[in-house]
Amino acid sequence: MGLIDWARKKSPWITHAHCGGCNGCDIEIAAALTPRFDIERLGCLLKNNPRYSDVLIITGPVPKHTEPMLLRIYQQTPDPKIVMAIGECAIAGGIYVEEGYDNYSIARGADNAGGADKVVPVDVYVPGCPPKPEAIIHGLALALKKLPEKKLKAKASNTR
Amino acid sequence: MPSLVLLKEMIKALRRCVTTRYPFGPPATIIHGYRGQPEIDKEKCTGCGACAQACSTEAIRMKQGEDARIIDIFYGKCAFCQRCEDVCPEDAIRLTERFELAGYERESLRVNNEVRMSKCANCGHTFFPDKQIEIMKKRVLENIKADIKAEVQVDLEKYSRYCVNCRRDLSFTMDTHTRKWY
Repeated sequence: MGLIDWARKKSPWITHAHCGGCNGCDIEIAAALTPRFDIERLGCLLKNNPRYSDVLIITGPVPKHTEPMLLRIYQQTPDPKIVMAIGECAIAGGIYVEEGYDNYSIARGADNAGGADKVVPVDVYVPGCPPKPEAIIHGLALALKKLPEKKLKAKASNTR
Repeated sequence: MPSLVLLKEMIKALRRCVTTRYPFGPPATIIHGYRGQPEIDKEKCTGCGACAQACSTEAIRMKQGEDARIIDIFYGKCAFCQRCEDVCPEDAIRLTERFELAGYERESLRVNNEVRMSKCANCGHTFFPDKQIEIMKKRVLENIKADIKAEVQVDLEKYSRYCVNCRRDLSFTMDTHTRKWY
């Protein structure tokens, strides 16, 4: 592990993309940044620019009018990047997607389930409605384990 | 008393660092009554599907397998509302205090419980789960008057082997009860 890899693992800067949703998960992310659960002791820093960040956190069911913005934020995040879907809505649409009820405003895939992974590839799914701050920290720990693998993938895609 | 708890926390905060040591130190403190991952007790579950009907977000679904009924929980949709626990007649589904459900794959958040279905003795189609029929028999016999218990038991054994349609067709040919308690 080189110096850059070590630095990346020790300070994963995060960007939070709010795509629809009810703000419950956003409040829990804010709670995870407060002194009680302090994810800054893991080196995380909330950045408002995706170009500086390593981890992209998505909350909400991704409505169709937010889809291009999310795609743009994803493309602006430099490789190797990790995408976390936080909350039920970002995983599968949650209460916004129901069987027999055709919701026109949510981005959906072939299996009629919504979620952020219909728009951008997601690495870590954190269920909860909303998840506890501890659950978010656990998800972040899982995400950091995946970082070396992501780096190899990013390298392969660059050489192509 | 929430206010007392709050006061205690405030006094504690003056004395020491309040930051939890969660991912490295001891496990996270969970307040009593926290609603975490719902879990099915496979021994108790009869596959009646009450949880699937009550589920507010369609996280629990009832699917028809080959010769089994599948109770399918998808934690990626569950809102942890505890309605499944409230309606379960067997107390088979419970909300545990587990919250570390994060995973790399979406399908890793899915848990299936298969319940074997019984087959109709006449037409061979599946109609009800085995366990549900047993429980139904037990409940009926518990709550019925003592003087007609023996007769009802004979009837139950006879009728519970057939599906709804076959029961209707065969009810004339079968030796029916004497209807003396109506």
